[in-house]
Amino acid sequence: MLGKLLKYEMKASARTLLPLYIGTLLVAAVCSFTLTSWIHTNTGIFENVATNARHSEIFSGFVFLLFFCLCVAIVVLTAMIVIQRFNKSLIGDEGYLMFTLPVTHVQLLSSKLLAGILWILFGTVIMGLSAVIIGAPSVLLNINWMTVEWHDVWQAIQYTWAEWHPLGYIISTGLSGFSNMVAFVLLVYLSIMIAQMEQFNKHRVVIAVVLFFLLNWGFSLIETMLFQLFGLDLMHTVTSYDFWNIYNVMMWIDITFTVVQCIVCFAATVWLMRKKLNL
Amino acid sequence: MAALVEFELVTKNYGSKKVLDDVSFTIEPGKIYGLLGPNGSGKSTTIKIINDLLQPTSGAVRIEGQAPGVASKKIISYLPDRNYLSDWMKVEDAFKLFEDFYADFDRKRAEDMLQSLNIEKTARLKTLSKGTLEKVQLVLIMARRAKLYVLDEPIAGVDPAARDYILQTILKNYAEDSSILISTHLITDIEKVLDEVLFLQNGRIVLQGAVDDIRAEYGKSIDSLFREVFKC
Repeated sequence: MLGKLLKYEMKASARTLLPLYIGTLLVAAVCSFTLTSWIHTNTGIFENVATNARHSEIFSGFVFLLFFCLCVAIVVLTAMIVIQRFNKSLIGDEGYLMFTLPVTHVQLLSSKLLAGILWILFGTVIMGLSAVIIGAPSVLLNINWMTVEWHDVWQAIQYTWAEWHPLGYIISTGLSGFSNMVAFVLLVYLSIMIAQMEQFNKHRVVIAVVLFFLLNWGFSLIETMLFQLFGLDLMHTVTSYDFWNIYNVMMWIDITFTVVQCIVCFAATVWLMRKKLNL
Repeated sequence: MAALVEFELVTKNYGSKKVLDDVSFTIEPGKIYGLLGPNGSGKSTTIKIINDLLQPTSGAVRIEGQAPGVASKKIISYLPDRNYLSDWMKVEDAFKLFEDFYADFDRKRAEDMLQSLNIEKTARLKTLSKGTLEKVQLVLIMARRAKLYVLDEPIAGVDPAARDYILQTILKNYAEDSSILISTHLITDIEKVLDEVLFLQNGRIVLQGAVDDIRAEYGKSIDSLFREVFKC
């Protein structure tokens, strides 16, 4: 049943998000092409280096502004869809259907959460891909491949790897980012579920927003206290070695705390769905 | 054998307001029940509790002996008093959704009903009128081979000509061992199809029993009795 719920969830959001994602990639491709051809046309033509540089700055500025706008659009729209798919299809009139399907509340919430996570990940990949599409060709065109000392590059990579062991940091930072993203979505769901209760029949939206910030603040406060309890402070590290060590410990504490936060929010939301639904 | 639905001293409060007050009744298989009462009498609350959309403040609710949940949702076909389908869907999408989630959904029956109502399967729900949308929902609900059909104001939004057709559709499509619970305040239209009635007033059941017995006892139609009981 979870698979079926997820299928309908993805289908409902795809109508809005897929065109946006495809559009972003297309705009990125156009930007990339324009930027590349501009560099190609202008390099070496202008005698005046200063003018050339100024034009280049203006143009790059424009391209990055456009890209920035698209990224904002993806972030805002994805967030809106994640919120709206919960709010409209569970708490709105569609909730009369969703809550009378022969599925459990856990399955209902899981389908919303999984779809939300998938769309956020998809949106992030699209943003990354767009950045690569825009930047890569012009960077690659400007490198004189004949002069690159591949041996030096390889040695530099090997040295960094051996000295810093970055895999651990990459994993902990990635997991921390992912768990915080899940926690963010679940906190939104929990705030909406509390705000829909019969006690708050008026100003549901305002209450949900205020609750979200309050809960977020509360969880952050507890986490900060945890860091203090363990004596972790990035600001007063002396060596970079200390910095990265403490950073790593903080990341793992953050991951553990965020997972607990996710479980609490998930369980509370399911309980509210079961006991305090107010359609 | 356990009753299909059993309410035992069910009370529901919204804050300090008592919406249902010690309500007790049972729904047996093979009968059509009318849940009658003026606006705000607790009809929708009763229906929501049956469908696990609301939890009673106190009392017990049992569907085939169990608390409402996944098992009861498999056997209850519920028509709410509003549009609960996503507007991005086509009629066909709604059919697929019901087919996916309800093992008792009979597509052939649904398509036959749709055809007789002259509604296109490819029509977008967004483009349909309120009345047509209600008919689509009724088709979805009645195409299930459920044990209990719970219909909340099924004829309130359609014109009188369509009401007869809808009632016929309901009667034609429910199996004899199934039951129907219809909530309405338009009693004239449905009186002839009811076996049993439950009169709700201010959250309390003020009258319940078999329609024939009540008619014989009071010497008047259910509609006349309703007007008398709920006189403003």
